[in-house]
Amino acid sequence: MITIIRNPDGSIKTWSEFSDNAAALLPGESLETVNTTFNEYSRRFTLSCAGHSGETLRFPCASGDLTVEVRCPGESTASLEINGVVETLPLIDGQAALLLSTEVPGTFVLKPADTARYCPAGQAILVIEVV
Amino acid sequence: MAGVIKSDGRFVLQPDPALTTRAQHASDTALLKRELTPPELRGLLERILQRLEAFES
Repeated sequence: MITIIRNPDGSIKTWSEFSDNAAALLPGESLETVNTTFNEYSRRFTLSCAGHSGETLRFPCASGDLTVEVRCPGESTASLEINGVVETLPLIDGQAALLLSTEVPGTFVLKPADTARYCPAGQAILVIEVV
Repeated sequence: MAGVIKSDGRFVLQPDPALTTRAQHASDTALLKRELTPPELRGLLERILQRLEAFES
């Protein structure tokens, strides 16, 4: 059993295995419980690049295209936000991939577009710095 | 956060003006060793203002 804390707008703020989070709620936030495990819940939507997930990655500029793998088990599509641009990918066996260019220096921030369904934290957010 | 565009199936970052001007730091510093023309001075001031704006935001 896990508990989920939602922001006033319905997006997921965080989740945990603890059930006594009510005292941590800020005004407007809500709490709900889901009958699953922490690991199972965290693997509903994951992003990875070069085998890394849930961390900030850094690649040299002009080092070739980067492949980001999206895993969303049991779903046929996955929508993610890339620096504010929403992209919906068809999934095969719950997986898809997209390419990022390293031609221009800067920072890519990838996260789920539907933050009411998936929490943009942990393995569901990927920050890639091109330097 | 820099914008992105999709081109040839890849997501490409839009150049960040602050990073672009920062890349000119060495050449801008070299400019100061000689007399500047009005367009050079204007360009230098524009780059300083762009970096200052990025720093403040």
